[in-house]
Amino acid sequence: MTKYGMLIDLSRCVGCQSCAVGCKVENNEPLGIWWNRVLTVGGDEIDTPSGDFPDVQMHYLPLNCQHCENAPCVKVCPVQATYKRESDGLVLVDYDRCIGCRYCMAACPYGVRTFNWGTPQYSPGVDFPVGHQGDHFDPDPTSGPNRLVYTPDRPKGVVEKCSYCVQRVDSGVEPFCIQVCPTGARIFGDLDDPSSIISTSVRDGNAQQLLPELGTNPQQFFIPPYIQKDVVPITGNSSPSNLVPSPDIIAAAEEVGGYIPGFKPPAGEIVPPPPPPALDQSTAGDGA
Amino acid sequence: MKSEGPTKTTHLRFYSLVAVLLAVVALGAYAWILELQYGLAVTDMRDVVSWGLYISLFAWFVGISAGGLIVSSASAVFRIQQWQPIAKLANLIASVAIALAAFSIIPDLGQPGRILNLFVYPNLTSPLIWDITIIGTYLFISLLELGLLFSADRAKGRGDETKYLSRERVVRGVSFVALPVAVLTHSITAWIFGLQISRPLWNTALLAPLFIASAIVSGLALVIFVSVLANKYANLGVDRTVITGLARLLSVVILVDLFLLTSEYITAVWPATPAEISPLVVEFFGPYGWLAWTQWVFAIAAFAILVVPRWSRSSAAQFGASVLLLLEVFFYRLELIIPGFVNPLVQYPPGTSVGTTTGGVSLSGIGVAVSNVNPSSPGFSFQLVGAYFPTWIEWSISIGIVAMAALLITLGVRYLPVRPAETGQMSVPTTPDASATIIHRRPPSLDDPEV
Repeated sequence: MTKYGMLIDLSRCVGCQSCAVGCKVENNEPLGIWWNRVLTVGGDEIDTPSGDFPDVQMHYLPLNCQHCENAPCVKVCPVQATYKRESDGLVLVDYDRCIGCRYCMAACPYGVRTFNWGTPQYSPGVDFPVGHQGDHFDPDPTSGPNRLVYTPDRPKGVVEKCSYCVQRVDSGVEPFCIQVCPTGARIFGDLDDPSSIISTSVRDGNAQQLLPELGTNPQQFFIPPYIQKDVVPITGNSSPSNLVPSPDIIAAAEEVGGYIPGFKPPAGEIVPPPPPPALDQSTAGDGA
Repeated sequence: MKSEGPTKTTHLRFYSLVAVLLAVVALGAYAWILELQYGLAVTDMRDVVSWGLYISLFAWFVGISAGGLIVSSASAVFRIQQWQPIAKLANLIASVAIALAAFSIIPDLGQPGRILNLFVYPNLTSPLIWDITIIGTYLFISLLELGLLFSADRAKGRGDETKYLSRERVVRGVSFVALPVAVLTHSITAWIFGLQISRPLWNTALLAPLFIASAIVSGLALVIFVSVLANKYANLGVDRTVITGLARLLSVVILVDLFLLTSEYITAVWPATPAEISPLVVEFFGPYGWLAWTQWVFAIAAFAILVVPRWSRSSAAQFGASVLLLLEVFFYRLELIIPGFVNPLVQYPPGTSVGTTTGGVSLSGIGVAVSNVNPSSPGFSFQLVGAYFPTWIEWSISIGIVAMAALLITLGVRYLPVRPAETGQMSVPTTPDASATIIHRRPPSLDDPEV
């Protein structure tokens, strides 16, 4: 079997929002709807750190559907409009069947589901699909007939969310966010294949799931944003004598085991994942 | 006899009440047409607080249907004879309340035209499907019991003792089924919320018992509310001692309800871990904290009214307490649902997309604005902390549904033979011969057929 998953190396994420914008374009997301958001873990505003200079901390957390194996949204959907596809484990929404009760939005712990409150609106002059054209029906026979899992024009009153770009994956192409990430922070592939790049990276990079204590068992993984001790912080003065790690930072890093609060310390040595391939045809093609 | 003197004023009162209620229903219908046209963008619900007034109203309506269970089923199962006279009224209220509970989900749907999908593609793991099933069952049983009680009354009116006794036996049998169904109805409604690991405020095993207790509070309050009103304005003739008995029971159930709430609070406060305590802090000290405080003030005030001897027997005091308790339970529903949403588990800036732009695009003409979406930057489409206050459209639709319930109960009291003692011949079109029969004036004494 195939089980598609995604891995995001938070040490590589620079918060450029390319994945969020790329996702919005590829999937024709209306105004106000973002399937993929890049959150700032740090201060109270986007792109701001916590703490006082120079002892500040910040990292980014790109957030999209976690494609849980034990997905609360799938369990609560009264009409099976949201379902987990058997062939590759994608959690999909059938836009033709959703009744708009929004129970899935109440059930999702990650807040990644979004709703077409009114008729979808686009920027003035945009009256055509900017991204993927045409409807896409789920080809997996076990999902049942006529499952409309992608359409550039969603009706009002239905829920939508990240589908790992099912319309691309079904033709053997990686999700668009993988393709547009400029730092290669995202890897997509088959978690059921132990030798796939994503599987080895999840193992070697000590990848973690989001809110693991809930037991939703996401297929989305994150490599925590470790503090790199060999990076010399700038302490506010450019004279060479100041270009040494601030003792506070070293102490803080050691105290927490060299990781950012919110993530568990790694069990072994930190090995950065290998760079992802530009297009993972071999694994992406399995489920098509 | 009683309808002789006040006929004219009664009629006038009745028709003006019906007219007012119809007007409110019409306003709700108009608001609903706007909502169907523009979508749920006309509400203030957005991606963060994605359920609001409608779902609170739904949960409240399910709760107030509990009166039927207590009065009619419990009186049959536990043989509490003195409640038998208002069993029909209680069943009428329960039927109307549960029917409108089911109805009040429909305006909350984004695609109401697809509602039949619930029956075509039911997902058996969804508590919503369980709830629809149990609500349908409860409605059926309430109507069945109501019909059987009418039939028993008619048999009694005709002097057909054997048929009367057999009907009474069937009613008792149905009550044995109705009791667990009613308990399940409130439990499953609680589980819609209580099973969700994504909402710490809801996710407690106590939620089902809490919903049962609060349902009984609001259900009994509604029976008292309608009985006092109907006694005063429709000469329903419900014995004062019956109402006082219900009020006594009500005061006990309030204590049970508040005890369960307190257990819930203390379980969150004592460990003092952020995961346990922060939802409670939001519930009481967040922007919607006034809901929780009001709930407690109303509950304690109503309890005081019902137990202080000087007030407890007065109809006006009982009426006031029942109003307070109906509101108290409604506040409880709101206090659970809205604060349950405002702080998502993954909460970092810029927050959650709201699902639409400022909402004003095509709606400015009907005065809809989105609250608190960073007003300083129009078009900014993220919310870090949820904010919600119902729009006039939500209020109109909700109040319209409440008016519909009031209308149905009013019409039922007027045109159905729900009187305790079967003297309302003129209101029973189905039994024209009833006028020839004896007038039973002492309801409780008639009801000891079960031996």
